[in-house]
Amino acid sequence: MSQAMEMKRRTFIQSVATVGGALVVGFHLPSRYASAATDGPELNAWVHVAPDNTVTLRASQSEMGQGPTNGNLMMFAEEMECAWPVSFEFGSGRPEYINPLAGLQITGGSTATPGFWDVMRKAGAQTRHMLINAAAKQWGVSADECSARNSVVTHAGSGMSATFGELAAAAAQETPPEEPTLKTPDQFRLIGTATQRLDSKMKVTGEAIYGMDVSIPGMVVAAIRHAPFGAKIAAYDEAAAMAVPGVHDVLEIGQAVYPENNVPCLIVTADTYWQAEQGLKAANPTFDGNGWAGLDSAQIHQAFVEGAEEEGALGRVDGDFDAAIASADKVVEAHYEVPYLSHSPMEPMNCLADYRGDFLEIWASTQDPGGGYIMAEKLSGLPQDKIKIHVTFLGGGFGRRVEVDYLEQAVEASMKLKKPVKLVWSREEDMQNNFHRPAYLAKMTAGIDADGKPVAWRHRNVGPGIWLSPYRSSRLKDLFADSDFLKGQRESGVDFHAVQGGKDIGYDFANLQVSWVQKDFPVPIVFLRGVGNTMNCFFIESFLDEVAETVGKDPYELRHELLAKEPRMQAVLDLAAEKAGWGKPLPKGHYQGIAFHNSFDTPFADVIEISVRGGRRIKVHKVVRALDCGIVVNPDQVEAQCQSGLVWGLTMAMYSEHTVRGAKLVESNFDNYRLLRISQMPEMEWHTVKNTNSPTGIGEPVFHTVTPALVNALYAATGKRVRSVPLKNHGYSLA
Amino acid sequence: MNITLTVNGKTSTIDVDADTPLLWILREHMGLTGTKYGCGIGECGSCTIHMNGEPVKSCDRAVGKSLNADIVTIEGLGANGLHPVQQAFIDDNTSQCGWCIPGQIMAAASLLATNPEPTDRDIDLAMKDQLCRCGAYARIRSAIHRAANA
Repeated sequence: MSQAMEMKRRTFIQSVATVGGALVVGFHLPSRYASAATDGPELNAWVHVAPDNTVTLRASQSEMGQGPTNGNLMMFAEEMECAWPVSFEFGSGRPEYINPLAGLQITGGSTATPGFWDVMRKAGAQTRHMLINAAAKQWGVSADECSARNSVVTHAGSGMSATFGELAAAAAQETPPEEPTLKTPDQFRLIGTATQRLDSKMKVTGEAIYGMDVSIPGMVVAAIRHAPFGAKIAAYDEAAAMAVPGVHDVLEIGQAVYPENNVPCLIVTADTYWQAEQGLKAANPTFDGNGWAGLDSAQIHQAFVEGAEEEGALGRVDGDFDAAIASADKVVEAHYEVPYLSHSPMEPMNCLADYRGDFLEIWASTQDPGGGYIMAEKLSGLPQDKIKIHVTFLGGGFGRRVEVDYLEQAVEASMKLKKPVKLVWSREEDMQNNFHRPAYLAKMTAGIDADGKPVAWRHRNVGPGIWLSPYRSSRLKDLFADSDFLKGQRESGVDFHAVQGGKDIGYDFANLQVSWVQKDFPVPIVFLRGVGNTMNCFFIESFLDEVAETVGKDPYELRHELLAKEPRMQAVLDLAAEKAGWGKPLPKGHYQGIAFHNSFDTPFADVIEISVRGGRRIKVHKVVRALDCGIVVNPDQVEAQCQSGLVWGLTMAMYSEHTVRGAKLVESNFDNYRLLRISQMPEMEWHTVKNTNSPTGIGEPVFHTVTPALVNALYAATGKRVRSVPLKNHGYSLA
Repeated sequence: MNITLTVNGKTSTIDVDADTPLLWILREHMGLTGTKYGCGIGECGSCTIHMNGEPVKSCDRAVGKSLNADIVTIEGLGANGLHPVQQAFIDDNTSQCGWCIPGQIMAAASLLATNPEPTDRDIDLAMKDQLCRCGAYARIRSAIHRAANA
């Protein structure tokens, strides 16, 4: 069923529901899942075509805002030659949907576009061939004489034509060619155009269905409290909870299939979420300490400072750093530091699970249905063909929804209670029991030779490792335990993401050392949009400005020289500098800062222009952004991501911080974990290097350069070098 | 207690705990899930609705304090098709994840109802408590201007 049809059906159900004292929910389901697709035959895993010629495509990548729905379906439609826009629905659980760059049906790592660039175009071309072959057979002509355009197949000689809808049933019987010829970029009609988001209308009318919006008859809603940092549940008042009107169950859960996720939790179920929360308050769970009760941010900082004097495990060695430093004319050295961060997507974690003994159905805002199936199979004992995960819209993900802990909790609750359970985390549970971007400290060291050339570079990172931590972190480390990827990390002792963006630095230093000193703490950690690049870009790009000053070079010029062997990266840096008028006179009191970084194969550069009032109040006047993501599939969404990344970068630079006190995370909601406001959104322009290379991702590379560019501009304006974020801790505010 | 509300033009009486936030009445008792939960403390604006013509954060407004209120949610904003703000948000491709968008639109519609040609500063003030984690602020602003000029 198409999204549009589903919406009509749902509206009908709502309109016949009566409002009284009882709970009125009825079915409230996302697209297609209320019944099997009935809008015409399915031609393959990606498409079905209705007799009225409506083409419905399936999106395999989760839509959490970054627009892979449009981008990937545009790739398909480009080759299928169907009319645009199309209807769409989300698909899950079929092998075709596996992300080739991840090995699972998972959305993340800026892989949606590059991972499916060939997959979607090839499948679209195969579909076109099936439709053309069906038409040619019906007409008794050669398929070579037929062409498709705008959802119609035409025979050139006779002028005969048929719609895709008319041909679909016959086309479904056709065998597509294994390797169809794909268009060259000069033949693209749709790719490269700014299309209307397919989900725009349903999102502005409130009709788009997210995980938290789903409801089914007979379900209860569960509220949850997690034990902090591995503590145990000490006591709770079950009778008091059960006395709250609407409450059904009080239940301890936490028997996870992944040991790291085995967090003792108390849930209370009720007719409604609000009643469940009241029940939980009445239950008033308390928790036993865990040996980490004294853990706080100062202790973590101290461990990092001490760790900075350890050698660590070597992630990359070029030349002879020690010898180069020993003979250096000048040595520059500094510590940089970043705090724990949370993803805080606007939709808190939630999941609806319905375990029926012989079948398990899950509705979730998830980035990882692939991992969800594996978890559900292990937890329920059901084979995967007896499990269905319905992927809804996601109210943000940013890496948090790669984890399936909240799916696991809902499934466990439904299995134990033998009824459908919709689990909803409060915002406080979401922030304080999040898997965080780890805190890190870097000891950065550079050696300058007698000619003023930086010839030695050491980047020593101190902090936790998402893959190697013995504490709670991504369960992907369990899932990929036997992979070469993880084995390699265990053997080298270097966590992949701890040095991400540092180990693969684009700059050319003759003598280079990148190392990691492992310091783990029980604060749960995981991937946050950009992962290791989020801190390493800040460390590298801020410190490089210190080096530039030491050698007496312009910060742009030094970067340009150090990228001499990386022309693709150098072009992006140059483009930003050129468009921003780097080095040209600025209005009085205005200063620029520059930063460059290459991540996810998308080089990115920022030039930020600011003024500072009273030495403390920063006004961002303009941000010029440059990148090379190859072919721009949908310029509208690249621009949207450039805007998004700027907000993320400024938020991280100015405000974002989770502190630890008494083995708990202090910041709990948007009153103390502040986000940027609309008034603080600066003027921005973006530029791409034009080429026809295969596209690379943009969701993750878009914000790392903002923080160092801002800090570098701040140094230009004030002469003060800030070596830790957020800037609010240094007394700065943002106008 | 029995509480009478008019939501999107339909009056009904429900029997609920008077402390229940309006947000959960709309979402769970009336099936109007376009109004979103983001923080529960009136900080993020995802739950913004219109009450007696004013923008109100429904997550920390007890239904017992909304007696006989005339409420409009995102589902009822465009009574005769799309509201100009909704159309402008479509035209500008403003939504990313979209969770905050109904609240953004309700706040923007309120602004335009009293100030048909807002300046950037007017928008800053009216929209200051509407958070967007995806960072769609530039397009939220441009869409409000677009709706004003429609």
